[in-house]
Amino acid sequence: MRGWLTGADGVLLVAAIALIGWLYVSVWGPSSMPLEIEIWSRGQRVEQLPLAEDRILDIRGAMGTSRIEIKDGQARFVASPCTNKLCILHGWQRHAGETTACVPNRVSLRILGRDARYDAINF
Amino acid sequence: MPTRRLSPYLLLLLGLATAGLLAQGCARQPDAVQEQQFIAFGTLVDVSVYGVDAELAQRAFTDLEQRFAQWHHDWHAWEPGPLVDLNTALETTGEAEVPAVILPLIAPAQDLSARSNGLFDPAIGGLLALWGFQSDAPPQAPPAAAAITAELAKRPRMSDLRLEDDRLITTNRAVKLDFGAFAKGVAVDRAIEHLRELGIDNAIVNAGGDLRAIGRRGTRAWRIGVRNPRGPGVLAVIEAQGDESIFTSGDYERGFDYQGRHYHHILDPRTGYPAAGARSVTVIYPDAATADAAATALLVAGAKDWLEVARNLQLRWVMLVDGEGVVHMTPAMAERVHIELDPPPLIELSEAP
Repeated sequence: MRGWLTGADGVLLVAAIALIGWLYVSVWGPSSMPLEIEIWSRGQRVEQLPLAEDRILDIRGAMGTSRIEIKDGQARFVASPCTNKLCILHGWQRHAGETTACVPNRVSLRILGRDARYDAINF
Repeated sequence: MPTRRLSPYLLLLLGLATAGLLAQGCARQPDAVQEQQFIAFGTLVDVSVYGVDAELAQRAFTDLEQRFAQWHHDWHAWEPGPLVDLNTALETTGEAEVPAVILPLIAPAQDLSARSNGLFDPAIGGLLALWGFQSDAPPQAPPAAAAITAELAKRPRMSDLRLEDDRLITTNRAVKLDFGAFAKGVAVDRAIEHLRELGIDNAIVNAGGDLRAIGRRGTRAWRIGVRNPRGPGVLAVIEAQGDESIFTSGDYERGFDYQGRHYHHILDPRTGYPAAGARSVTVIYPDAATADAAATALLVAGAKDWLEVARNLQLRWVMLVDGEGVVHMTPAMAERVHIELDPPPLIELSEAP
């Protein structure tokens, strides 16, 4: 290598290789992007929030208000003006791609992640 | 000290590697999937398209929302519209001209009904109405046993109908068509057809959990989670292979609770009561209309008779969760399914249908 690279070249080369390494890990490495929750109401996306922050949300739907709880990295319907309460029975959603809906109230929630575990849920 | 420069080839290599990583990274962004939701057939319809520009995606979403609304109107079993008019005419005169929007459903529904030994039978609209399932509000209580027996005695069947060109003739005035277990599948097929006409080859049309997936999501297959029929979470994951419909029917779907018991809306035409032989059935089949009818027929058949019905309907991929939570699968389905439940359920492989 002597006579071919200067000291500065060496520094540049090491920096470039380090950049590629960092890009590889950040782009192709295991997803470190935290999960998010997306909430739709009456055909519109109304919320997109981190799943890591506990909170209670009241979402206005077609019939009234659906209450959604986010806690410990999972989300669920806790109240909805529908009669069957299927949305509440579906319980906690925690994996990317999982989705549940209160159809009568036209409110749905879905867990988002960069590499979604499921693209759709069959039920 | 003489100045020397880094080899241009090395620089080029570094540049290319960086650009390549960035380009592939961008291709993995979730923005490549665009999605829209709307309500039709009393359920949430979710359309996902991959790798198309925003303008085309928006056009596809708008088109499908309009079309689903039209199909919902055309095939609705109790809201005023062509199917209600057809049923009224059949009941009063025994024959009727079939509206053009309904005609394409009749012969395939008759064929599927015959091949499922009548376990899928869209002629039992009278029974569904008796139970109160032909209503947007859930029923409060099951009908009296005597009323169910009386309705069953009328024996309405798809085989009572004869199609002569566009005229439908019935030998049984009790036939009342309700395409609840079929129309959604037909709609999904037509939606996929329209997406293809628009030049969209990678998509999922998911109508309330029953779906058809075409193409892929970039470099990987579309991954479909099948809901656990008891409790939250996902029972299994299936990768769609190119163009497939994946339909699940379950006893946890639309229904009502009465005196501590759940009554769901998939009725057994043999008993007049909600099907009781399985918790859920998942079917993979090329077209969604067949998958829809098949999932219904197999749920009605239950753990005892499902294999025979699967054979008659020429199904290769079936998964059935019985009343005890045991998962029964055809050998072909076992190769496709990855169980996600932890601890995993008991699995029983059937012979090939």
